[in-house]
Formats: sequence, structure tokens, C-alpha cells
Amino acid sequence: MTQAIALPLPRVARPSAYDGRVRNQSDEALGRRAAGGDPAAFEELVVRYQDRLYTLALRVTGSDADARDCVQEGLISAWRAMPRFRGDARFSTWMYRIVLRKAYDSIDRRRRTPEPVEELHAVAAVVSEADRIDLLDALAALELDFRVVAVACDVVGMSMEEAGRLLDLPPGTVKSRLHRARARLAESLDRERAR
Amino acid sequence: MSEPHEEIARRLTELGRAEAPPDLRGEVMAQVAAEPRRRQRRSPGFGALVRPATRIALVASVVLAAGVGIAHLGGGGSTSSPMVSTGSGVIPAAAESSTDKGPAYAPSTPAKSTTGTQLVGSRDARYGASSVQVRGLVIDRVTARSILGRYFGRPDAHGYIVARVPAEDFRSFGFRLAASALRSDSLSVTLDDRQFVRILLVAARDRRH
Repeated sequence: MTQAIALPLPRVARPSAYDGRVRNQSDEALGRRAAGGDPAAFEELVVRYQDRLYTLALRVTGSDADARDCVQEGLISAWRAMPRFRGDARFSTWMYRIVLRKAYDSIDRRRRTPEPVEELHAVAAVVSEADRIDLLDALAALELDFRVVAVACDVVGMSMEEAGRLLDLPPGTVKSRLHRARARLAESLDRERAR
Repeated sequence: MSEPHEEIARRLTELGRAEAPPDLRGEVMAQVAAEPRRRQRRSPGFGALVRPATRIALVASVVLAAGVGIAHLGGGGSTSSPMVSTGSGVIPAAAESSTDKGPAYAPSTPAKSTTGTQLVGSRDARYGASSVQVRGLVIDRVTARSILGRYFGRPDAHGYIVARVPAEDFRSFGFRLAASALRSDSLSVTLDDRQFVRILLVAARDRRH
């Protein structure tokens, strides 16, 4: 005889302000409404960008928990700063920039407080046991300057011009860094295949 | 883009994307709802424009007042050439020629230095009938020295007082002051023709002749 077990489903409360009437509006129009204090407009922006913002934060920090904190804090900061958004950049670039700054802060904090030695040994043991480095591990091992360009262009899907605006870099620098990042990743994959 | 690079870009796009945690949006919007309600952005009002101007005007008036005060303190020192010393008993002849000049000032309290010495010009038993009531603006250099001691050294017995006396009182005051100075060991008086009276306090052993 089988027993039915009722598992409580995680309750995801949909804020009452979100009613879908803002779905067809452009980012800029939503930004203007959010700047005026409209939470429904801001929520639509959250819905549109949360995955991409989370991806950016996750691939730059390399940590789920840090990425979540970065996106959450970044979105709250964006809501507070909405009245100051001048509209001279694309709204998406502005939000990416806020979250990226949080990601940099998170990396800095981690550098200042290194992980306990035991944990590092445990991670090293797992890696050597599996004896493989996949592409995302190689991406996480890249230097930050190259990693962030590869994440912006290849993972999030920004154009080089957009990535340049996000990172305050000329398109030529973005292009060269992206080329070098891909080359290093290709070397890592070749080493993986050679094993 | 070379073939390996294309493959890298394609695989990064496939593998790298992630979905935000499902409860992230709810948490963010709960925090947004908990934020204090914002006011609509407005253009700066009249008050916002006036406030900095008021602040600037206030600072300017303080600086001006300080400048005037310093000019008054320094005024006694710059009038040394026409002065006639009465410390050695010389009657101030220059005083007589200047009684009509200069502005009159409102009566003030008798001058008193911070060192506790009752100065000529106030009613003091030490000087008896010869003491006079100074009516006018009195600038006390001893006080200035005590306030600005950090910059000018500690106040000492060699400080002097500058008094500006109304024109109508200047002549009689000058004669009485000179007479007081003749009988005093610790006082030297100088008058000039701009209704300034400098009363030099001198320690007895350092009395200048």
C-alpha cells in the first residue's frame, strides 16, 4: 500500500503591484515609471533582467551565494537610485553596471577574508579526484579582466560596444581581451583533451 | 573568428547561462515595498536656491566683521607718527587741534582690561578726581592679546589700550588723562589727532622715560 505524502510547495508570493499591464512597455518607459516610484514597472524590469544579471554575477564571482547577494543588493540599489538615472545609457547597461560593481566588491571582500585552509584542501581533493577541468572551471580560473569580458560578450551576449560601455573600455580593448580570453580557454580545453 | 574561438563562444553561451533563484524576485520586491515611499523628482525650489545664497552672505558678513575688528585693533599701531607722549609729562598739544574731527560714538561701559587693572577713563579711587569717564568705543588690546594669545604670545603688563573718544570730549579728556599719567608709575598715555588715545600699561620696573 502506498501512502501519499503531501510535500509543501515553496510559496512564491507574487507582489500585488505586479499585474502584467507593463509587459509591453520598453525598458526606458518602465525606467521612467520606476523613477517616479512605480513598483510594478520596476518589477517588470526585474523579471526581464534577473536571469541575465544573475548569470553575470555568477560567472564573475564564481559563487551562487555571492551572485544572489550581488543581484539582490544591486536591484535594491537600482530602485533607490532610479530617480537619479539620467537615461544617457541604456537601462540594461546601467543595471548590469550596478550588479557588476557589487560583484567586484564581493571579490574584494573574499580576497580580504581568505577561505579556511581545510576548505581549500577539500576543494583541491575533489578536483584532482575528478581529474577534469571543464570550460566553466577554466572560465572561473581566468584573470578577472579577461573573465569579465568573456562573460559579458559570450555568456550574457552583449555586443563589444555594449561591453565597452559596461566596463568603460574602448571597443578595441574589449576585442583584444575577448580574443585572449578565448585563446586561454582554448588552451585549457586542449590540455583537457590531451589527458 | 577562428574555429576554436567560435566553439568556445558557443559553448560559453550554452553552458554559462543560469537562472536566477525563483524566490529572488519576491525578496527584492518585498524589500522594495518596505522602502520608504519616494517623492516624485521635482525641480529645485526657491528655498533650495536661496539657502546657499544665505549661507554665503552669512559667511561674508562674518569675514567682513572680522576684518573690521582686525582693522580697529591695528589702527592704534599705525598712528604712531602724530602722537605726543605724555608719559614724560608733556601736555598733548596736538589734542587741541583735533577736537572737531572724527565721528561721535555711543556711550559705552568703562574700559576694563582682562588683567583686572582698572584703567584711566573709568572711575577709580586710585586716580581720584582726575579719573574720567570715557565715552566712546574702547578697543582693549590686552583683551585682544588674551584672546589671540596663541599667535601673539601671552598677555603681559606691556599691553596697551586704544580708546576712541568722541570729539566733544577729546580735549578735556586728554588733559585729565595726561594729568593722571603724570602721577602714575604704571601708565603712559599717548594721544593723536584722530581721537585715538593709547593707554600703555607699563610694569613699574620697566617704566619708560
